[in-house]
Amino acid sequence: MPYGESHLTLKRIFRVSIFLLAVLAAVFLLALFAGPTPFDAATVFKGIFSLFPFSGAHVQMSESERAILFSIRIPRIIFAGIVGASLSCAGVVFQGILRNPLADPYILGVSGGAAAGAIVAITLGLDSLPFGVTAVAFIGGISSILLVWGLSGSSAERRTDRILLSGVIVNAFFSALIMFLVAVAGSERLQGVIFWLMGDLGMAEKRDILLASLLMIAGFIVMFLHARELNIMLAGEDTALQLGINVKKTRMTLLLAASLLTAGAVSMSGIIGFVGLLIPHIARMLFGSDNRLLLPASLLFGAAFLIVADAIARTVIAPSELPVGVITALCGAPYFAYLMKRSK
Amino acid sequence: MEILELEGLSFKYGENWILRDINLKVRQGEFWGILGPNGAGKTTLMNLIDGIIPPWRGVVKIGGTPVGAMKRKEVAKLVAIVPQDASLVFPMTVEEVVLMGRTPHLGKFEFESRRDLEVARRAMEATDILPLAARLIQSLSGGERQRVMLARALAQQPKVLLLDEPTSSLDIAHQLSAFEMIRSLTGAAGLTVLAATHDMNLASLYCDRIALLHKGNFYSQGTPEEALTEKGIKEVYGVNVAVDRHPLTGLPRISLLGGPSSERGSRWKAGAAPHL
Repeated sequence: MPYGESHLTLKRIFRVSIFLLAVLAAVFLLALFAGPTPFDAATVFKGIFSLFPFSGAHVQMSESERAILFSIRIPRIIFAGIVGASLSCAGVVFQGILRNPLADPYILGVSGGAAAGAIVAITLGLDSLPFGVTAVAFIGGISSILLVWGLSGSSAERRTDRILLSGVIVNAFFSALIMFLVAVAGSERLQGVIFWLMGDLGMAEKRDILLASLLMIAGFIVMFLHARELNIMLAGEDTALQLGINVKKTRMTLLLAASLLTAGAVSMSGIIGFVGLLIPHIARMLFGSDNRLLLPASLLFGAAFLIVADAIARTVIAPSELPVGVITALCGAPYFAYLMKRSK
Repeated sequence: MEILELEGLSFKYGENWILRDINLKVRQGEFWGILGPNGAGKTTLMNLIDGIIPPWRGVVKIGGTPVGAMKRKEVAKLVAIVPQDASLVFPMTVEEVVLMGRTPHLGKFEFESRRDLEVARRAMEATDILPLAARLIQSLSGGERQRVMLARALAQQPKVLLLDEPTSSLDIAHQLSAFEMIRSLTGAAGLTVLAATHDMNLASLYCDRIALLHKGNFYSQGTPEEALTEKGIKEVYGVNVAVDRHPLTGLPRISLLGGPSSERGSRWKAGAAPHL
């Protein structure tokens, strides 16, 4: 490849995004058929077309089929996409800021902190407020990442193993806190909590989905606007300072955005691990390390991935279903082991 | 006129003074060699000049303006540092790394323009890495990576270039061509260079001026003849050298004589070696 072709252009971002959008659309359509109630293709497509006025599609669907398709299946697929996208973008940012390919919201304890926050909020009855649970989850998430940051030492010595150990400690603490709260509260509200802790996309309501998508969009925009700064920070803090980046401000902004996305996802879907590890990695292998491309690519790819994982979780032991976190951990943990073995 | 002035510059880590009351005036276009033993404070001095760390006391002025009073982005347009190595965790191409040097010249959301690409291409030509453009930085040798760092700094188009042991992992051919190339950018071409180096003969050959750091201050500064003396090198490094004039270049030539300066000649006198 001659000079001038291995750097990123706006055109390449568009091309990759359109390609991944097509993949996402295909995955969305396929996922419509996954679940205990069978649909035939014609019914589904006519059902979707009938949403558009003047389409003239003649629909033969029972009330229950319609309810399953539009009130259960489609919202759930959209929600899976939003959660996958949020966790993947958070993973890109955590990996970049910590300069650590093994970072991920779950491994760093950010998901655990957010989950603990969410459970504190439910215990205190804050779930009656519109953003109560997500707000406290956000506080839990940001405290976790700041703890990990503080525990892993100064920048010169911030080594991979210290970061991961800090994540283990933070995770252990918040898991214990969650178990304590569940045991003490014993309220009916927390009954589904164990299932939720392994990641459950089925509990979200329309209002949650709207909130999560707004958080995802806002967080993504903040991240994308700082993508080039994040690129430079990959070369180290001194280099970033030397090239005129306001390192502290950029780091704090990005960590806040990533924690917000994690909190948005966790407070409504529980702890779904390894998505934020797996997706940025595969996207980096396919499209390179430039965050201006990596962020949108991980957003779309992460959405598609979790939609597929959820479709599998819904069908593999039908008529009952698995928490989607089981599927992501089954894929992610071996991959993590492989990465750890490969890195020195 | 002076492009760079250091006035009473002091810095300490905890209770340890790294640099104490450093004064230096550098004119535009001069090529300075900063010499001194390991831990003499060369890297700290570079970071202070670039304003990456704030001085304990004293001031750094670039073109008459204190660095502390400038925005980071403004400083980044004036000063570039070539670090000892690139510490990149994720795979990036040489081209991407060199284009990082354009950062201070780009607006917040701007993409690299054709002009930026041209500047980066010239920097890569000058450092002989253009054929490596599409290679991943991780796949390069230490010497190649060092040239990439140099190209990134040149792409920054600074007025003052700081080199932190820029040739430590280069072979002699690339050492010479790196110094040759840097030399050609100084003088009438206008770039001012401060290079921390351990190679006194290369410094003597290429630098206009040399400053010898010793225990946080300059032991000597001036032309190579003035700064590199037998007495000075013995005092600063604690080694015996002979300094004479090179028969071809007429410049100071430093030859190692071996042995610590406390006792003339070899420490391992015949028969004095410990039984192994």
